[in-house]
Amino acid sequence: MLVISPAATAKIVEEAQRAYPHEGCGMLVGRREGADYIVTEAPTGANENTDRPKVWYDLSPADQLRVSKEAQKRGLDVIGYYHSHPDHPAAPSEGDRSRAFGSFVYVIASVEKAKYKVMTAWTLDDDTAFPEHTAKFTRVDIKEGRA
Amino acid sequence: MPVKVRVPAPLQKLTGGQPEIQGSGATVGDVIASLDTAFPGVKDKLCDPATGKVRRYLNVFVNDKDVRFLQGEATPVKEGDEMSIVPAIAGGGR
Repeated sequence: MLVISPAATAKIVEEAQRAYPHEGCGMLVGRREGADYIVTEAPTGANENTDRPKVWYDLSPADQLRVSKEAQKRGLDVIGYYHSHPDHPAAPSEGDRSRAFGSFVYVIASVEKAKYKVMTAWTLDDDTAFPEHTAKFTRVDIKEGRA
Repeated sequence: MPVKVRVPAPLQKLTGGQPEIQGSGATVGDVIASLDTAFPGVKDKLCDPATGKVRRYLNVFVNDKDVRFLQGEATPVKEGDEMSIVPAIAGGGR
């Protein structure tokens, strides 16, 4: 289960629509409670892809480092990531799966004609997987609420 | 010399759940190699065994500087520096 605060949901929606027609992206900040992901914030990060940003994202490593350090000072951590799919369903592509890391949760938000549609969440079935793995994505239920 | 190393969640099963571990050495490469003593398997996760280079899906920062823009694995470190392993988060290609 992914429990996400209304503020974090709003941030993902805002960034997905702002970035359109490019893919927008960011980090999911919060904590793990057993198998659950508790997301309190969703700060944006730069999509550094310049070749084909409508269909690919490269989340700024410098933004990740800054957000991670700031979160850890408050006893939180980066527990996952999000990105948008402009004019495409909120389902992971093969690129999303193969480049994913284990133990993180990945949220995908679909946007059609600049309007947010829906978001889904996914995690790999191997917590230790690094890219070029053979692990599969499993869908994670999303519940909006007090995180 | 001792250096604090911040590791991402997918590595933390190898570090006993610790998000920060201690390494030692005079360069980034030395520090990574030193981690295997206390946490066997960490080096192979971080570096390609064939080349000894940091895997291309990982970024290494010393303090707030990406070592790709410094001297890579040969980047010198000093006591009190902080190394961060940052996953290269990307996807797409539909």
